[in-house]
Amino acid sequence: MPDIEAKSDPASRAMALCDDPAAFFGHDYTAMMSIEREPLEALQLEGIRHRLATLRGKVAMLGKLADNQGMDDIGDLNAVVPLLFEHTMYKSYPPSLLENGRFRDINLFLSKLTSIDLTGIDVSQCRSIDDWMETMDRESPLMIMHSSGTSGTMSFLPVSKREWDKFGRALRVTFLQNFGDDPAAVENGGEFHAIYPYFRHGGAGHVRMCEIYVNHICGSEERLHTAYPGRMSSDLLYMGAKIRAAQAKGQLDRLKISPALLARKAELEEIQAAMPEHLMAFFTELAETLKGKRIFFWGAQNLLYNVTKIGHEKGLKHVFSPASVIGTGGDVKDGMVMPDDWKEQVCDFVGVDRIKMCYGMSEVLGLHNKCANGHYHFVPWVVPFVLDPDTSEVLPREGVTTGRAAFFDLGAETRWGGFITGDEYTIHWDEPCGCGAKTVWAEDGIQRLSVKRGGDDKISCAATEGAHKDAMSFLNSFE
Amino acid sequence: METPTETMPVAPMILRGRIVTDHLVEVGGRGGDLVFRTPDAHRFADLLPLGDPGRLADLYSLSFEDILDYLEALGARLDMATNAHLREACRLSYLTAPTTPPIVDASYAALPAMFARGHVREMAEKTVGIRYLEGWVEEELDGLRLGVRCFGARTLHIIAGNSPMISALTIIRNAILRSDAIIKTPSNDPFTAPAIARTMIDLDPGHPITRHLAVAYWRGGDEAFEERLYQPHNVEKIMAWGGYASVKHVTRYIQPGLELVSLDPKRSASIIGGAAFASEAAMADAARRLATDIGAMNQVGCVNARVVYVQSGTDEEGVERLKRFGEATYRAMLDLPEAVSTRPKRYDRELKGEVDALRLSDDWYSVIGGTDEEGAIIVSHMPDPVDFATRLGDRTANLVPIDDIGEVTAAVDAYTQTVGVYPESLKAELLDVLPLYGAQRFVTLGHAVEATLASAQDGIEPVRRMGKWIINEIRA
Repeated sequence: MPDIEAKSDPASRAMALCDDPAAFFGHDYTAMMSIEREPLEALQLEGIRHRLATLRGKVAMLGKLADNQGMDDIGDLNAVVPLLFEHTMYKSYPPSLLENGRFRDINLFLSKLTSIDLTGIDVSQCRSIDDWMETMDRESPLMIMHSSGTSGTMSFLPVSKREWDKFGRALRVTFLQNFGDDPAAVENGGEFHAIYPYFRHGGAGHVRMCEIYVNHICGSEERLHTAYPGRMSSDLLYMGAKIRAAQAKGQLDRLKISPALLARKAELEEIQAAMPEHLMAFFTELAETLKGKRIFFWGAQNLLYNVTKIGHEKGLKHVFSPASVIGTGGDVKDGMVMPDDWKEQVCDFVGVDRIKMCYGMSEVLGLHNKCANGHYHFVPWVVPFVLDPDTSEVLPREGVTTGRAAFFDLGAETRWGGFITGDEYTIHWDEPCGCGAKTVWAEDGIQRLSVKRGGDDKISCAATEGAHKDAMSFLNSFE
Repeated sequence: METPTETMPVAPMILRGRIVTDHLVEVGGRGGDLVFRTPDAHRFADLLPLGDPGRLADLYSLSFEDILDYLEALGARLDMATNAHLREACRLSYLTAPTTPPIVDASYAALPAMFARGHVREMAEKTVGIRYLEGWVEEELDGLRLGVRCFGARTLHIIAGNSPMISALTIIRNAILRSDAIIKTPSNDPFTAPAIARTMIDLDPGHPITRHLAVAYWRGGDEAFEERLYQPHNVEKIMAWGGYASVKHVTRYIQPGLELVSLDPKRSASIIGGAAFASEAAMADAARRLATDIGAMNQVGCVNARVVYVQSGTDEEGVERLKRFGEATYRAMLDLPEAVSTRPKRYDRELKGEVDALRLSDDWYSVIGGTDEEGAIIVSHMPDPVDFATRLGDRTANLVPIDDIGEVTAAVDAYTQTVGVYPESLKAELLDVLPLYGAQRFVTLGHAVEATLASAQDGIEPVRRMGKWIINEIRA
């Protein structure tokens, strides 16, 4: 029975929503999206107040910001906006710390963004980002996610393993169910095989999702199928991003290559050389072993489309079970060109009648599904805000407002959930949606605010493939 | 807010002495500032170019002194007190310019001086050589008598909108070269060039210089239109100012017979030696100078200081020294007169996000000011510029501590234009080294925006390149 009916006090109910939103709504997507706005906002306000009270003494950056703003508590949802973190916060360390592998300093930096004490972890032996990520995975309660570093610096998001698992439980609900579905029905279509046409391991948010697929979607490592074994090298990714940044600045000639990376050149080249072969083997596995099976895919449009293209070249259609679930990010990332009929092509290849479109980002752990009417409905544990694009003032939570997207992620318990994105969206606050879902919704067509300005650093996966290739070709010029 | 069509401002098109205000279409000002109307360039695509290059001949009936007479008379008419076209353009520019009204006013007030006889003569002499403009210059080479003359060319100017002085400079250069100009105005300054052109028509509608100027606005990148106009039978040269997108975009039309003179998008840097810390007076002096290079024209120019390398030392003491210097620079920036610098028109939101994030990252950075969107000084605590250095603007600069002047080559790359140096004596160490890395112009700190117009620009000689250098080889 969903917890929304429980008669406990508002503070306890707000905590229940923050602590495990999936359980709060009885693992029922329809219940999740049917909560009325007024009681939901009361819970959200209570939740933010609780997070602020608990975290301001533990997350140093939040404490500083709250001190600067002279804020101890908030009286309404919009009042929290001055305390939201800019999306640049997670990369506000000197670029040379990463360039010179000063991971102890990077941990000091991260310690101010999380309530978890990282100072006891010995990273003195880490020679590369990969070393450091592996050490932190092993020895800290965090699973740090990094961005693609399009500006030449990587953002590091300190998400705890517990938060990631909580997100996974919620995703099982929002990924697999549609509004109006009987939650039990989804379990009747057979077990899922999750497919991911990329690396199994790595520090980028989208690769970290593999953990969620194993633990919450397909239920076992054997039923997760990835194209490349091992780990996507974060160092190589960083190198690729740095090359781009250096190109943009006309400083390619003065780019420093870390000796640790140069030493691994042969190993990395081998991985890259084997990639096409792995991809074809992966494809064969899909088409033969998984034929007719129920698959789950979530990932960037280009990854999805690349697999589809191979299928079309081989003349394959309706390869998997019609009960498969295919989902992807809602909006095209900068620089990516997809054919107009890409969705039809994907559906035709997979054998499903729809692709689930979602809006979300690694910094805010909630994916918002697009409904049948083309609207993105926000999950109840993520509080949306619209900021004036010119002044950054928060706009009223009524009518229709367009501006910069900002969120509060109530699920964040070790880091501060308030986050200002670089996206622009239009929210309809009080107009009911024909699909029946009650939560507020954003129009289709969410875009980067800085599409034309470039250079920002949203945590996204669209750049990773290109960056990888650039890096290899650059390393090759250092024979 | 929507402006009713009838009251919406009009940027007229100028077609060689004719003012066009019909077939208007609405176009948006950059950043959504202002929607204005302008004649639909598509309808006039065939009238914009000169066509027959032989029609340049009328300019050759003028002597250089005639040209100076004309420009001098034009300069005298570019007086805000008496020129209604200019007043109107200035008022409308408040709405489109990246700077604020006091700065726009100051730029407009500076226009007449650009046309002063002595100034134009100096510019022509230094950037071309008047005798090459006036006739054939002959010299004896080994076994050859060589005549050289600089002819005008049919040129399209894609100008930048950060200062109204760019329109005036383009018109002056066009006149001294006896060239024919089509000025493509930018949406952040669509009014200045037509206002000067209308003043030229008032001055002498039939004068060859008046008759060799066309001014139009179209959306940059309008392929259908540009492909038609940007052809060797229409123009021989394209002079493109600034903006990576605009320069990169133009390159697709370059082909044999159509030359690009590109004033690439650039950035500038400053280098301040340890001498700035020799005394309180020296520090105050350097801070005032740096504040000027950062703040002048509200940092909308490529000449403005952005990343500043300071030989303060990188130890704790050095960083403290740099913070004090940063405070002094910030205060001096706020004290700049409003004709030079004001609170920015609209602080870049993305930049604000970056600056606000660094403010909390106070182990590594000190952010001075910026809470009121007035501009900020970011002091790096490590010898490391911020990763968003290319986005610095709106009176926001980054001071980077260094121990040794040898480290400053990092400040300079292929995108560097001006390097401001303090003290003057420090230049000796830099003059012969930094150009190898990309520096194009050295200035005494505090004078970055006072660019002389009588010299090279961006490491090239654009005025010489705007002419056609014709030779006559005479052999016995």
